[in-house]
Amino acid sequence: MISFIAKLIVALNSNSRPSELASGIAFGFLLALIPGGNLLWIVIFVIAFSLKHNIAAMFLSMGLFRSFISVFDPLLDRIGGIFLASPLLYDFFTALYNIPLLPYSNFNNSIVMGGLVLGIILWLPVFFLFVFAVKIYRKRFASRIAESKFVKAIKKVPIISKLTSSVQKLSVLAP
Amino acid sequence: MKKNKIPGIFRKKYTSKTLNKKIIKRLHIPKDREMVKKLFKENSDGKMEIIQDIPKEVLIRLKPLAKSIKKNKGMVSRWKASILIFIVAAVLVFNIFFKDRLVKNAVESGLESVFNADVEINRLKLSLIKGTISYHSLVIADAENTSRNLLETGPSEFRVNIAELLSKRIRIEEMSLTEFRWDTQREVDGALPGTSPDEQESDDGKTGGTLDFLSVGRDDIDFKALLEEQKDNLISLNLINQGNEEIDAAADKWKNTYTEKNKEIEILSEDVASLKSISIKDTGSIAEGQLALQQITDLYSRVTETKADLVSLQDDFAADRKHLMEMNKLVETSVDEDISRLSSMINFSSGGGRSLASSAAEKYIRNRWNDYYEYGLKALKVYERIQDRKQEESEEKKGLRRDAGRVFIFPGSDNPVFLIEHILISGGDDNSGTLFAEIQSVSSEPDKLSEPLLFTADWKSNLSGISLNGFVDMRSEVESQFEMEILSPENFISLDNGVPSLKIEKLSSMTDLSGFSVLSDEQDGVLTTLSISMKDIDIEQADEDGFVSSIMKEILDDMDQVDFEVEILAVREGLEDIKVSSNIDDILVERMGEYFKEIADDKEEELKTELLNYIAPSLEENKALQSSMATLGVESLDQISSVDGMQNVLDAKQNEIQSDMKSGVQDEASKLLEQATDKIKLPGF
Repeated sequence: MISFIAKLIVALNSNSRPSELASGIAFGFLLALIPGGNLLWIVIFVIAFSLKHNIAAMFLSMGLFRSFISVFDPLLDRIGGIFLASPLLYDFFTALYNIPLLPYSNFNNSIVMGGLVLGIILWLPVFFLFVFAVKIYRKRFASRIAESKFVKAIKKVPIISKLTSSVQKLSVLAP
Repeated sequence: MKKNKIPGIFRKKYTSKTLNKKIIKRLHIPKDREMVKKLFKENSDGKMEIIQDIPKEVLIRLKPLAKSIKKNKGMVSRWKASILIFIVAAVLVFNIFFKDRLVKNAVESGLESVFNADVEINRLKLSLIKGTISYHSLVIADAENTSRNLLETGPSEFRVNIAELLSKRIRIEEMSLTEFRWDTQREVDGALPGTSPDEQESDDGKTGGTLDFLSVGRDDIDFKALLEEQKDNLISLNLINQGNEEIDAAADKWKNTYTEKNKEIEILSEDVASLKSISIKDTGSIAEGQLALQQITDLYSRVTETKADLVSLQDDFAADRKHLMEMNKLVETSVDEDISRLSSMINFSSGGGRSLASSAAEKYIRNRWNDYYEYGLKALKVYERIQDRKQEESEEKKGLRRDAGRVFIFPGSDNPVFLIEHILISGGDDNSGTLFAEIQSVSSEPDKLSEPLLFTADWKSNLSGISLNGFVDMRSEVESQFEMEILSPENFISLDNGVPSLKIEKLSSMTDLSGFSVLSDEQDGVLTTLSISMKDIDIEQADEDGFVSSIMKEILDDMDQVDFEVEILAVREGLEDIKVSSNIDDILVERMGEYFKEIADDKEEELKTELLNYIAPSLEENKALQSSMATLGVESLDQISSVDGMQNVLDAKQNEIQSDMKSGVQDEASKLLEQATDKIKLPGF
């Protein structure tokens, strides 16, 4: 966990693309929305893992969103239900349903479908939001935060000092 | 000292556009970007080239920046793709080499959770290409009796349809189980670690049945065991025990009450004794007399009050005692009630021999059917455990804090999610008999099938055999959910214990059996009707010249065959009811009715004696308690009598004082008169 946080801090303060961080967070959000244990989740995870973005950001955002995502299950159920029951998509889903292996994706489950639909819809807003946030951070806050008295004081707290040392180690390794 | 060189990426010459695209845009820290921009100058060719005079601290910074620029190229990370490819390859290799073991462990643990007992599979092989699973042997222990196996099979093969499996449906085209055996001995205990054997049915599935004393033989009825079993239902015993408790409580209550009253009487008695010693005869003082009278009057009123209390208590005591005596009277009638009820349980009503042969047959059928019933019940338990597992699994999924959601089903293949098309079972041997069974269309969604679950089974041994044909139809809107035809011709049966009440020591015959089982919705069980014909009956009798023996021999010589009609109702709790009627019953009644009536009367008398003996300790206790109550009654009378005595004493004392006072007053008056006469001189005297 500390290592993930450290990697995220390093990435935030390095020359990595803001889109890499934002994409990691957006994929983490998508993977948190879709319930696990089905082929769809595995496929999305494999794609997300293969893409060049910040894995630490993906795992951290997935863990963070998962901790409260069940609150939105009734909403996902309704959204998924609307899509799955839609007469316009009926033939499409029927065709999907009859393709070998696709039934293992559980796409016909209202929460899986709701999570997928909402995740895809919100992927871009989340992505751009975090691209913007990272840019703003780097431009306005990064140097100020690093040199602030508060940060210097808090670095002396044992767990934070451990985190700082991890960051420094990773910074040496990182480009 | 190592000389810092400019990284290659910065040494190249770029056009203004390419510099921006390949270098500047790949730097995302504004400060770094500005720094690199300042390092490039346009040369004479119009290209952007890095300046040579670079400060040392900037030179050091260029190396990591070059790495960042390289890293920020492209969308797919090669090392991540390599990791994924490696993981997939590792999983595939692992599956190829270890899949059999993995599947074996998965199947074993799955079956163990269903059967709740040890399961062993040997040499399991899974072929994904062929779509087959085979094993050399499977042994499933019996959870209810872990020293035995529920079933075991030899080499078996399951043919799975892979195309269906890819569509998330399990379709086993054929399950072929050979060397099938059940209820076999185990060498090691079959209990799972941390589990205890399932609780045995205490009633052996015979709760609803009655015992027929004629069929089980005179000495077979254990009256003591019967009374012990029916202890809670014995009205007489319960009444006595209840009475004893009430008497005990009443005795305690009255004992305490009378002890209190005794103390009160003692105080009164002392007061009476002290008053008794008062005498005004000598002093003759009227004032003293009046005081003593006042004391007597006060004490008298206390004594009267106490007496009234005692009389009232005696009435209450008498009422209590009357109630308890009435309970005791009820005991006598309740003994008769108990006898009548127990007699009906033991079916003395057939004492006339009305259903004699039927009762004998019932015992035999009950024993045989109970085995089939228990196996049926075990199968039902396994089915229920599978259902429970599904429920538990869905609850476990809920435990992941995500809702289950709704599943939308789209038209697709009409095949059910789970289907076993054919199960072929063979087993047994020449000694125990051979078994062949075939089951078709076992499915989780029976409505998707055009036919119900069909089954046939044939078991044959040297002496007997049985064929079962039937179906289980779980489809909605069907007329009948279960039917089974039973055929068992030419069976040799032998009753080694004979029929003691008919003086038959051993009986054997050839028997034809046929029948039909259906689901009884009204009674929520399986109703089986059987027709049994016994031919070539051979009996062994100890006393061939005796009355019963000779009549039995005559009857059986006259009859070609003895027919029985049987109705068996099996419910979840056990064999609810077995009704048997026979063509031999009426003949036996006619020929031996009186004889059996006598036996029945004797047995009823014996039962009564046993019951009286059984309740005797409670009755003894009852007598002792009654006696203690009687003692309390006497004490009550004694107390009243002693209070009466006090009243008499006080009456006497009052009279005595009054009399003394009267004489004292007269003496005083005479003296005063004399004194007055002396002092007053009357004229003329």
